[in-house]
Amino acid sequence: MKEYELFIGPQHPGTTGNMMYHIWADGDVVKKVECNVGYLHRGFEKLMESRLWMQNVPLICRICVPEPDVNEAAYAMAVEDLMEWEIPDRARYIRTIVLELARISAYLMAIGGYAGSIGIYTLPQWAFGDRDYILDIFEQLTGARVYHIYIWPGGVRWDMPAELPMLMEKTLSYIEERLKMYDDVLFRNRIFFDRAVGIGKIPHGKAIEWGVTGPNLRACGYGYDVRKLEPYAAYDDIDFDVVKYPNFNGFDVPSEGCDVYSRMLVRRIEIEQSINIIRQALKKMPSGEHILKHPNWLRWKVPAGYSFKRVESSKGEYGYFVVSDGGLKPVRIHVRGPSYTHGINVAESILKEANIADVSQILFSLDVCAPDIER
Amino acid sequence: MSILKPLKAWKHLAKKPHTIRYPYEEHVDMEGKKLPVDTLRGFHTNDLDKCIGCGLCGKICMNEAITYEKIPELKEKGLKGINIRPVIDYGRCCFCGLCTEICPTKSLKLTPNFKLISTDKKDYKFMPTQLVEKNDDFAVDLDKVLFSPDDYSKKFNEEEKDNAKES
Repeated sequence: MKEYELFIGPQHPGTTGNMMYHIWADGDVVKKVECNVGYLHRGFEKLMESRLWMQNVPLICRICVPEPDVNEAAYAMAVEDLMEWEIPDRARYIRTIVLELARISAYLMAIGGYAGSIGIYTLPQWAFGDRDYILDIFEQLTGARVYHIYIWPGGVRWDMPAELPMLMEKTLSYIEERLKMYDDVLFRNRIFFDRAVGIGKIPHGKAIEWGVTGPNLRACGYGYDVRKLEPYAAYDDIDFDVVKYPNFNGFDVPSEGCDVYSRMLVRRIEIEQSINIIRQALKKMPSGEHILKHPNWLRWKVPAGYSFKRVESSKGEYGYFVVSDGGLKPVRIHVRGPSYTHGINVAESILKEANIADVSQILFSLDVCAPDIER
Repeated sequence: MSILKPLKAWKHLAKKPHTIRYPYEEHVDMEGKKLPVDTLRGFHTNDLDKCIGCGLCGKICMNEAITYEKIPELKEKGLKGINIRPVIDYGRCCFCGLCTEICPTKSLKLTPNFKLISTDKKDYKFMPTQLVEKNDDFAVDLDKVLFSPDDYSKKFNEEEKDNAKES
């Protein structure tokens, strides 16, 4: 059969955002893929150069929609590094809780999206509904549901309300209970097993070379986690093990890793891990100040120098490179988004020789976030 | 690994859905607390007597949503600052709340009220006053907007005719 062209995106439920995959296929088999981005370019990096240090805080969270808090955390850490600030202990713990809640909500979105891509439409409804209970917590903690603007340089914006840990505990146990249903519908479902095992494999040994990070790298058997390697917030005080292939406690491990199945299972098990981390952080949280005193925002000069800070997001390693010349505004801010490598290089390589029906499940299993590719 | 396990999802047929009929039903969290809470970042409220018209909110606003209007009743320059008060364009505002944090007298605050329905974009720009409280006339507004599709098309056609006449 003659080769034909197929366009997946930019408006397609099978892509993970406004981006396009231009596919050349032979029958049902993909022969060549080209990723086309540019539908979401908003020029954040350039915009940040024309704004005051504090004015950037409400802007950066808009870089990644499903999990905005990692942006705030990385930027705040970089500015704190330049200012040589040591943030209060309470702020470190609140940051940990916020980041982990955001991780759970991003994973729920990723799992829901993935299940939709293989035709299990029950799970997206559940996952998005359950995510809303986490957004309820965010609403009470930060004053907004999606763009929280809560993690500020020097600490966190407000202190945690006294009654919120109770609501968190209730929500977390609810999500734990729901995860059993998720297992029945997706993770212990024969359909998922048959569809996902051995599909979308990252070739052995290529993962590091291609710049794969986060859950996708852990699914290849590498125990790489920024939370462990370079602890930020309060992660060094908290006891947790890195989830990686093949330590899927209780789940079948049929494949050699690196495939869709292990990538999704790493995400599934990390939800439980995040719940565990939040519980520990709530227990250990000290009292005290939640933020350092800021200088006058309109005349805030950050000392000259540069700083690169990275955090572990639900998509992979997220980094902020901030350069200051000692002025009122940053000279240059560069964002290292994990989806850049996953969505363009990795996806283009592993989609080759895949079936067209598997394209969207491979993309969802990489958890590509289109807005953070282009920024 | 089983082919029968997914069928357990059928038990949800007997359960209450977790979606709500939003404007008509109350949104509550897991503990039954009514949402939105008071800390939600919604429309501003401004105590015009406390406000000194310093203009800091407009300077920190990154979206340039805040402009100023003169209030003739106030003295142009006095002990209580100058006679300008902020006007906020909610088409630009992102509800980050930097303006309220920088406000030296704390007269500018955010309220949990976020409902604004209007077919005219001019309605989105107004001066926040102390009077902006929780929007109880929302139901009235809702009736204005949520009419049946037939009514909508009728109204649309009439407006089109009016526009044609004017031009």
